[in-house]
Amino acid sequence: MKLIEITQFLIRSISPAIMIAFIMSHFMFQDPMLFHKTRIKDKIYLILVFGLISSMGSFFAIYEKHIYLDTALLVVIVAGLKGGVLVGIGSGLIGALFRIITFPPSGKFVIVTLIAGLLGGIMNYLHKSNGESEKEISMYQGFLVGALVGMLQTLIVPWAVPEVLIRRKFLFLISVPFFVINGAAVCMYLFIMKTLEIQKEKQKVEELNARAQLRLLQSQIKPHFLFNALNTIASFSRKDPEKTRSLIQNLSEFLRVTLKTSKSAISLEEELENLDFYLEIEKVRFGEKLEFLKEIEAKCLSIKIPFLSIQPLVENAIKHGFHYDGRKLVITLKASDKKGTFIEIEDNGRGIEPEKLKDIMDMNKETEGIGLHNVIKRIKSIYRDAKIEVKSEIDKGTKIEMFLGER
Amino acid sequence: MYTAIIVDDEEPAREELNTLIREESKDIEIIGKASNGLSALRLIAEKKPHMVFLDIQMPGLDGLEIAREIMAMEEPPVIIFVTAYDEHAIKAFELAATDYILKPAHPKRFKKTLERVISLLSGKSDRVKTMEKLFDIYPVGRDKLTRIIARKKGKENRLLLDIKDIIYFRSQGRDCFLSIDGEEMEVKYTLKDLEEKLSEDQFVRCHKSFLVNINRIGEIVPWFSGACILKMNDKKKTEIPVSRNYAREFKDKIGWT
Repeated sequence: MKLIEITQFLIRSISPAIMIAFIMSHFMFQDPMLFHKTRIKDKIYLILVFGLISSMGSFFAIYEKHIYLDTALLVVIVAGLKGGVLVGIGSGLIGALFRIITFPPSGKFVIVTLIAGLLGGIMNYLHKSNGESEKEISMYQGFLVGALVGMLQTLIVPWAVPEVLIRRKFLFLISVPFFVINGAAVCMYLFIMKTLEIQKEKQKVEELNARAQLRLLQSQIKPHFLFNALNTIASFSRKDPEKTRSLIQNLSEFLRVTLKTSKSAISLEEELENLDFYLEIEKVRFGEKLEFLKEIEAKCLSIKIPFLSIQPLVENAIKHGFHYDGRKLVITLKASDKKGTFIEIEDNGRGIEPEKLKDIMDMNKETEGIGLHNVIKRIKSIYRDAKIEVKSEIDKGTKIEMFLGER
Repeated sequence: MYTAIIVDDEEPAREELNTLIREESKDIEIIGKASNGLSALRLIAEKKPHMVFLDIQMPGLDGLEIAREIMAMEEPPVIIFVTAYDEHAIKAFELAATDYILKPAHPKRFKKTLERVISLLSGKSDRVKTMEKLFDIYPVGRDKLTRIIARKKGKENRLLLDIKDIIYFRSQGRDCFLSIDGEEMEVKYTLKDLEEKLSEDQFVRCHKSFLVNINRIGEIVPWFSGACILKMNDKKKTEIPVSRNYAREFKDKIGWT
């Protein structure tokens, strides 16, 4: 076998191991902080997962004429590099055990597996005690350990398989590609781990952002409403202390519920209670110009809906519904059970122009109807098949129909 | 003694402002209150107050639209805008140095504003300039217009018209007119403002002096070198020119290739 063929063969033989390592690491290492944790529970998890990946590596290893790159070793080296001596040796043991069971002739090579884990761990230790624990293990360090283990592996051949007569010259010849490719393979695996970690971290940040944004939207108290409420309170405080107190109490309750973000889903009953706090203020503000009616079937009261999913829609109806000429605005809220909960918010207000309604319903547009989009998104996060429809006619009013369906 | 009118759609808010004014100034007398834009305009025309406290968020017509009409009056009163919260409008007020009050109002600030307003009463030209600047900075509310205030020629009464019934807008010198049911009425906007404030799916500029309702075009008659003539779908079958300068844009918008 020529040197070039050996090199080609070695490179070919690491491909399945790298692929397996990639796929399994992707699924098994969900938490990017895992490698920095020192709890024994986390260490055991690491040992088991790396042990498994290492076993898979040797299971799919390609052998030919006693030359093979022990792909299980790569994984064990990385285990040591990433998790320390304990994780290195632990996963090395598992990998070695698997090797002895599935492929007894390679028994003596098992010792290399353990040393690989140990060397990886030592490198990790040196790296940390160097005061660089903040920094990740570098590719260079990985390559060094990989090459060292590769050398060890070639040196051990005459002892491990004495029945195969290998000329020293040939051994020397193959050792060079062996070091290099072993080192490079460790680098490759480290690189995969790093890429996965970056990706997982990004995902996590995005998730956190989305949650924070949702919380912000949920707790969005319209300043316009708040200041008008305060102005109404200022006005009544002059002559009606009873009403003033009740306004302050209602406003406080509404603010409290709205600012509280611990629960994302509440019962319809709770949402209606919160809506009442809000409406009490609006009724005082607008007096006889505003009327609110409720038709709620009792068995709907216990269904779960996202926190603040009805109040913003009623607020919209009030904000945009009043007629130009001061006619009374009547808002009706209905909830009924028709093989799934059906919620309807109807007003006899000004209505929405068809083209504007189209804009509002366009989930890609951010400018219009952000409140409605937010409600729709949150409802669909609980009721996946929920159907929400908005019908509107100029001067006649607007109707929002929500069919929640199965949870 | 100065006279004032309060315009706000919320009764408690009108009450509060009324009391505050009484408390903070002995020189101002409230002679009327209105709860919407049109009745405010009527009241102002009838009572001719020195100043108007004008809420900017009311259903339908916002305070700035009403302000435009007020400023077109012969003896416009000082306008003091009132708002609970409107970032955009407040920014415009600051830029144009227009007087405004925030609800709920703090007596200290309120008093200062009243003093300033009273000092402004003598200088009409300054007031007009300030308002022109404001309309320039903040020509449109956030929403597109769906109704518009117009006045029949030679009459004081104002009408609130539905935008979709209007056939076209026409400018003539500094004046602007709309056409509805074959009759022209005066409006207090420039064609440029209207172009911005009307939905472009409905109204398209076709000439330096014309803005037409696309839905009311009956026939398009080609003229020479790209220009054409529109025959409108109204009682008089009005003909409106599409000038060469506007022809391409106009044809694009109505989807005529």
